[in-house]
Parts: sequence; C-alpha cells; structure tokens
Amino acid sequence: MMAETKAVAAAVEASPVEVEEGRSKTVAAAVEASPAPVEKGRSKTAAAEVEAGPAEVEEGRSKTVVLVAVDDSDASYRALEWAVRHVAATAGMAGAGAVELVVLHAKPPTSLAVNMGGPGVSGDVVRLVEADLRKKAEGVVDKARRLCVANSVQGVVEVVDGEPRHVLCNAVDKHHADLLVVGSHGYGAIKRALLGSVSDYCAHHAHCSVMIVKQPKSKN
Amino acid sequence: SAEAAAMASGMAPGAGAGGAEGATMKVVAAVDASEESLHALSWALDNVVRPHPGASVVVVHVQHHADHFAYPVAGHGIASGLQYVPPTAVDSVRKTHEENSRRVVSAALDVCRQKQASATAAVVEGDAKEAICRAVEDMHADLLVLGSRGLGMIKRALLGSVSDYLVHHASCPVLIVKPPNKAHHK
Repeated sequence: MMAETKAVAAAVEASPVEVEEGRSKTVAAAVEASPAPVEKGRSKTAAAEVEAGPAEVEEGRSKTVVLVAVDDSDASYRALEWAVRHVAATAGMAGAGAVELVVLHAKPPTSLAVNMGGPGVSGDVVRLVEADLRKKAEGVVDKARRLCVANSVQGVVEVVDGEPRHVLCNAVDKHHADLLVVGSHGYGAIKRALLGSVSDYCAHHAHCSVMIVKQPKSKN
Repeated sequence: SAEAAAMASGMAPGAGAGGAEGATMKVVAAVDASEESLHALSWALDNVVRPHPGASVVVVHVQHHADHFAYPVAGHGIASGLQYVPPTAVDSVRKTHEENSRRVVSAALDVCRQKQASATAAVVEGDAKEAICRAVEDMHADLLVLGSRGLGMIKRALLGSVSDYLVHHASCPVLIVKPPNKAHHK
C-alpha cells in the first residue's frame, strides 16, 4: 500500500517553509517498509540558490556534496553545526571547488510513532501524532535554515518521509553525496539494539564516507 | 596507560593543545597495512582536514601482538595443543611485527607528506579498538579517521565491529571512509 508522500525542499534564504502533510495513509498496522525517496518538485529551483553545476565530475575540482541528517535532537544539531562549519571552511579555501550542503530531515512515518504507543490507537491519536510530527519537522527545518544563514552557508533543506536509515542512504545515492554527516545519540548498547541505530546503519550502508558527530564526553 | 611507543618520524610543529576545533584540529588516523586504510587517510586529508590550516595528524598503528610463550599448534594427531615457544622465536616474531609496523607507519607518513599535512606517528599494542580509543583520549583528538572495514588485521573481530566500537566509544567525532569502489568518490 503506497503511501503518498511528499517532500519539500526549501531554499535557505527564501520563502517560508511549508511542510506538506505526508498524506500517508497509514493505518496503525502497516509501516511503509520501502522508503519512498520522494522527488521534490521544488528542489530544482531551490538548488538554484546553490552553485548549480552538473552533478557529474569534472577533472580535479568538482562539486563536493555534503549531506547532513537532522532531526529534533541535540545530537543532530551538533552534526549540523559541524557540517555547516565544515562547508563554510571548505568554501573559504583557496582553489576549492564548489561545495553543496544538503540538509535532510527524515520525517518518520506516523504509523511508526503511533505503534510505539501500543495497540488499538484511535484515528484522533493518529491525527495528533501526524500534526506533531509535522510541527517538529517545521521546527527542525527552521532551525537548520537559521544556522546556515548565520554561517553564510547556502544549502538546500529537504524533508522526506520515511524511515531515517533508508531515507538517508537513498539520499546519498540521489545527491551523489561525498560525505554524510550524522549525529550519534550516545545510546547505550541495549538501547541501540532495541531501537536500532541510524548512525550504525548509515556507517555500514551509505555509499559514501560517513562522519559521525558525537556529543561532548561530558554528556553520556 | 597505553603502551604507546611514539615513533616521531615526522614533523609536528603544531602538535599541541587539540581541544578547540577551530584552533588546531587534531586528527588521529588509524592505519594498518591495507590499501584501504591509506586511502582513508588520504581521503580524509583531502576532504576534511585540508580546510583547517594548522591541523595536525597522528597516524596510529596497532601492532600485531606477539603472543608470549605459546602458540596454538594444529596437527600432531591430537587436535591442537599449545606448544611452548622459546623466547628467541618470540623475539624474532616480535621483530617481524615491528618491521611491519615501521613499514605501515612510513607509508602513512608519506601520504601525509604528499598532502602537506604535519604528522607524527604512534605505534600502540593491545586490543585494537581499546588501544585506539585510549589514544584518541590521550591525545585529545578532534577527529578519528577509520577505513570502513575496521582494522583488517584483527582477525578475531567481526567485520566492522572495530569501527562500531569506536563510533560509540571514541571521545571525538569519527569519520568512516569508504573505499572508492563503494563510494561515488571523485
């Protein structure tokens, strides 16, 4: 059962973000297993903000694509900070090629969030959760945009529905990313086993190098 | 702490306080004899270290551990026993390992020199993942660079479990570099 999902790309300095509802027809049971890496109609225009060069390689100085995954956690914000600073530093290098930053928020499918609450959930709850997820996504996108602007870094911000691990790995392929930056929650081993670790999955499966940004040791 | 014999065979002008990221970025790169780990080092230097002038690199090699006195021996009719190995044999094995280490380190430092990165080297012994973890802490590294297959020489470890361990236990961000055939590297 295909869930209709939409992803929205927002140019960093441009208009207000609207995070369209993933019209995911998720009934409590079925989690959309195959992540639909959704095309974003507007990303092309948004990409005009970024150095629009061919994705393909030219000898030597070709475009570098850095993809950073964000959610509403502190850990991922730290990853975003690292990525933004890195892109800023790289862009500032003499003789550097173009660097493109793609900020990606994987909005988990509503059903997944709802399922974790337990069986027998009413339609109202689904709607509430859906709205909450949407709101969170908007917050995440907003924060990301502000950070980019503050560092004079241009980037594309996308929201894609689906399970984060797949959304991220697919996005790496789609954008031909050279580097994927993720945060690490610092979960203990047991929590990782139960909840799964997106950063672990990506470290093994993404088709590019992966940068895992940790929390400072003090936290743990 | 760690039995880290620091073989300083490179220049290390800025090898000082590594705390603040913006200031002098301190990079630890774990290397072994594999092409892959040298590629990881090279990629990291090009893509992550280069934008940070004044960054310093320490290549860390975990030396093969020469077992002390006994080697498991196959055959001899009865399925394996432990055979006592005379100290001279242990010595010569150890010397071989040291020779290997020198070669690995030298190759890694060459890569750093080619990329004009200031680098030193450290050879440590012990369990690879723990040794690297300790090195990262002791050196207050800002970044740890690994090839994606972990350290190939650790035959006991499951594929990737060294990198998994380090991703979760290292006290600094970890960069896992994929080999060129897996990545869209340019």
